[in-house]
Amino acid sequence: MGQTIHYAPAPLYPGVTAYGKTSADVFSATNNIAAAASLHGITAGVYSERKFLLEWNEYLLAIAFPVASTQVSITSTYSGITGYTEGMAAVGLAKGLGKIDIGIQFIYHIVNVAGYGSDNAIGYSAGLSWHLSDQLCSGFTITNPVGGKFLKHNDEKLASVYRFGLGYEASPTVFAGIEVVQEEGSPFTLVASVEYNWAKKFFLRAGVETAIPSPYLGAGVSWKRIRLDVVSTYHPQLGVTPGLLIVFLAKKQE
Amino acid sequence: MKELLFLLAFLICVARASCQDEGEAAGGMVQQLENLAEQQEGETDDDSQQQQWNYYRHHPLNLNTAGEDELRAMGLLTELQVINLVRYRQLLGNLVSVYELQAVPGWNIELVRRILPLVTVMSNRESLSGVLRRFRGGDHTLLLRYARVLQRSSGYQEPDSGQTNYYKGSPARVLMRYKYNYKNQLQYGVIGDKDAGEQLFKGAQQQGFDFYSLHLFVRGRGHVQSLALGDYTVSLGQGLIQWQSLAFGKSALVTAIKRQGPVVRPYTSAGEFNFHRGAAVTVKYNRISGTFFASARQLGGNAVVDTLSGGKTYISSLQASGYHRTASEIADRNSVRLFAAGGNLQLKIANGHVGVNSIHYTFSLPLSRQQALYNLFAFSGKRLSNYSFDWAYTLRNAHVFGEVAVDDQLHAASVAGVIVSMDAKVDASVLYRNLSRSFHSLFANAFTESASPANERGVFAGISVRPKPHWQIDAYMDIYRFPWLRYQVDAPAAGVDYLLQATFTPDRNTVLYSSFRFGSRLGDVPDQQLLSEVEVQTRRRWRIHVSQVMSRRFTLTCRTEMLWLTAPGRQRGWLFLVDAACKPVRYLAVSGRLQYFETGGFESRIYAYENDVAYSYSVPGFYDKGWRTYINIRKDVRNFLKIMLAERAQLWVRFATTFYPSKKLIGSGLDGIEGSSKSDVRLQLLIGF
Repeated sequence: MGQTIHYAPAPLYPGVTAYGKTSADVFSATNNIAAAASLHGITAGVYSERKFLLEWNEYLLAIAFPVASTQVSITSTYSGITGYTEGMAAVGLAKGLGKIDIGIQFIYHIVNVAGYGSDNAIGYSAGLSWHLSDQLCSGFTITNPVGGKFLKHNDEKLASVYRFGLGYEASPTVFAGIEVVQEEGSPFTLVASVEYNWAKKFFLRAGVETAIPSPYLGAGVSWKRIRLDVVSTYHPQLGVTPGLLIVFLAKKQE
Repeated sequence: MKELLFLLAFLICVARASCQDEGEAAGGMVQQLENLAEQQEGETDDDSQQQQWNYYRHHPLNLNTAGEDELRAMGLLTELQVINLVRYRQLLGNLVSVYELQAVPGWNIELVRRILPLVTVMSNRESLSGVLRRFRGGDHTLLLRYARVLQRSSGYQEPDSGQTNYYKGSPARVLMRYKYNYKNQLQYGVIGDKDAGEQLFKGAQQQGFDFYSLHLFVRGRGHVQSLALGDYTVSLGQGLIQWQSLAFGKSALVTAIKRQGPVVRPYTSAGEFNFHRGAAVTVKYNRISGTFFASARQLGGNAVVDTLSGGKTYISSLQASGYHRTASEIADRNSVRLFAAGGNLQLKIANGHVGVNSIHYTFSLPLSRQQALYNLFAFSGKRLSNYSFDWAYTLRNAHVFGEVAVDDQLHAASVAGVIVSMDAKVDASVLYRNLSRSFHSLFANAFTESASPANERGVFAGISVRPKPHWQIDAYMDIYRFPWLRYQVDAPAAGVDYLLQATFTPDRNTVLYSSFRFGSRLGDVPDQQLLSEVEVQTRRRWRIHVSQVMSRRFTLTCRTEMLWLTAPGRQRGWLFLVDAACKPVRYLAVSGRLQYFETGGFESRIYAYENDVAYSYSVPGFYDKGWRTYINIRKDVRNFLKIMLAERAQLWVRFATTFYPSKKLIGSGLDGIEGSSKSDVRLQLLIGF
C-alpha cells in the first residue's frame, strides 16, 4: 500500500464553528465543506500563526461566494519552515438541500523538501451537514478515502481523514461544538470548542484538542464587516502558538 | 448452487397479510444486542422475540385484556410499567384509546410510540377457540434463506491426500422455517438449518439439513394452561438454574435488570443448543400454577477415551456451536445423550408471586473438563440437579425480586434486586448477586458479568433521569469480583463498569445520544506462561449517535465510536458509520451503510449492529483498519407470486463487503481468506398465507 503522508498539524482555531447554522464562517469549509452552504454573500478570511514561536509559520486563506444556488469556497494553506513546506489549494462547492447541506472539494497538495525537490498530489473531500433542529447540527467529512497518491513518489499517498462533528447553538450568543477527527494511521483526536458572542461585537472562543492535549483561547472584536481575533494555542511540551484571524464580510451578517 | 435451487423449488400458497418492517430490532434492543455480541463474541441465533413482535404487528395485543405474563413477554416493558398498566386498568377501567397510555405512571410518549405498532385497545376479550378449530384459519409463514461468503476460505480448498481437517460441505448457509400460528393459541412448525461448510443430503447429513427442529405449542383451557411438544425452551426464576430465552445484561436500559417471560415457550430459532426436546405442560389451579417438563436429546461433545482408567469415555467439552463441517466436528456430533426433567410451582400472591423450581440432568457419558486451574471447581460427572426459590413483589412504586439456588452439592447462588420509580422523572434499580465459585448449572443465564452464572459477586446500580422534556440521562455502576480463576485470568479478579448516556430527542423524528462507558478489570498479561501475571485492563468507550427520520421515505443515521484500551498493549479504536434507509416507492425498502474503522487490533474491536434480512441479527466486530459497506433491499413480491395465492410475500437481497487495505489474509485457519476483501450475500423469501 505504501507509506501514508500525514498532514502538518492544522490550526485548531478556525473552522470549529463548522457545525452551526448561524455560527459558520468562511473557515468552516476547512473542517466541513458542506458548512459553506450556510454562508451568505461574499466572505473572505485570513488566518496566520507562528507555531511554538519558532520558525514555523502557518497561513490560511479562505474565500466563499455564491454562484447561482451553490456556494463556492476557495481555500489555500501554507505551512512550513525553511527547508520543508507544505501547501494546499482547494476548490469546493456546497449546496443547501433543506435539512441537509452537501459539499465536495478538490484539493491540490504540494510538498517541498529542500534538496529533494517537490511532489504533489490531488485529493478530494466530501461532506454533509445535517440540521437536526434550529439549534442542533451534525455533520461529517470524508477526505481522500481512496487515492491521493503523489505523482512522482506514487508509493506514498495523502492520509485519509474522517471527521464527525456536532454543534449546538444554545442561543444566538453561545455555540458549543465537538468534532472527532481520525487521520489514517494516527490516533483519533477530539476537538471541543465553545464560542461566546457578547453584544454582537465581542467574541470569546475556547477549546481543546485531546490528542496532545492542547487547549486554545481566542478573543475577537467585530466592527462593521470585519472581525479580528487574537488567538493562543498551548502545547504542553512545545509551548505557545500565537495567531491572528481576520474575516471580511461583503454583507453584514444578521 | 444446489441449495439455492432447492430453496426456489419450495413454493406454496394461501392468504393473509400486511407489509411492514418485519424482523427488525427495536431501538433500545440494538445496544443490548451489541453488548451481547461483545460478551459472546458473536451474534445470537435467537430471533424468537422478533417473531413475536411480527406476530403482534399483524395481530396487535389488546392492552385491555392482556395479562401480566403477556405484557412481560412483549420484551419492551419493564416490570413497573407492566404493573402500573394493570393497576391503571383495575382502578380506572379499560383504556379508551392507545393514546391514553401516556397517563399511565411510568409510561412516556417514547414508549408509547415504540409499542404502538404492536398493540391495540379493544373492549372485548378474545375467546379461546376449541383445539380442533385452531387448525384452520391461522397464519402460515414460510421463510427460506440462503447466505454465503463469496470468497472461498482455505477450509473449502481441495485438501491434500490424508488431510481430514477441511469443510466437507458447500459454503452456503441454508435455513428453512415453516410455522403455523393461530392467535398464539396453537403454534406448530418445522425448521431445517444447514450451516456453511456442512453437507446437504450427503455425507454426515443424509437426511438433508444438519439440524431439524419441530415444535407444537397449545394454549389450553381450564386447568391445562399450555402444552408443548417437540422443541421448547424453559425459563425459571431469574435464570440461575435455567433460562433459555433471549436475555441481556447491562445496558443503558438500566431498569431492564429482571429476567421475565413465560416459563415455557415453543422453540422456533435455528440455534442448535439452547433448548429442550420432549414435552412440557403448564397447569393451573386457582392461584397455583405448575410447569413440568421432560427432555431427551443428543448433544455434541468432544468424547475422549481415557486409556489410563481402563478405556472409559468421557466428554471434555460440550459443543454449542452446532457446526458439523469437518471430520472432527462430525465425530463429535450426537456423542452424548442428555436427559432433563424438572418443574416449577408458583403461587400468585397479592402484588407478587413466590415459586420453587427444580431441574435434573443425566448425561449418558460423564463430563470432565480440561485439567486446568481455572476448571478446579467446574462441573464433572453424569448427574446434576438444581433447586431454587424465586420471588417477586411490588410495593407501591418499588418492585423487588430475586432467586436463591443450590446445586446437588449445596453450592449456592443468589440474586436479589429492586426497581423503583422514585419520581415521574426518576427510575432506579439495584441488583446484588452472589454466586459460589463451585455453583453448577446448565442452560442458565442470569444478570451477571460472566456468560455463565458462577464464581461471581457483585452489585449493579442504575438510574434513569428525565430532567427536562426531550432529555434523558441514564447511568449505571457495576462493581464485581470473581473469587476464583477464569479462562485467561490466572488469579481471582475484580472489576468495575460505569456508563453515562445522555439522550436528546428534540422531536419525534430525531434521536441523538452520547454514551460513555468505562470498564476496568484484571486480566492476564499475554506472556504465554502457564500461570500468568495479571494486570489492570481499562477500556473506555465513547459513542455519539445521531438518527433522524427526515421524511416518510428517508432516514439518516450517523455514528462515531471511540475506544481507548490500556492493556493488553495500549490500543485505540475508532469507528464511523453512515446509514441511510429509504422507501423510494411503495413496497420497496432499501437501506445501506458506509463505514470506516481503524483499531489497534483484535482487543480494541468495536461492534456495530447492522440492518439485515428479517429475523437475522448481524452484529459483527471490527478491528484493524478497513471499510465496510452493505446494501439491504426488501421488496414486496406478492404480485409476482400471485398465482401462488400468497397474501404476504417479501424478498430480501443483501450484499455486504469489508475491505482491509493493509491485509493480504483475512481471518485464520480454515476460515482464512486470501485477499483484502470479504463479501457475503443473503437472499431471503418470506411468504405468509
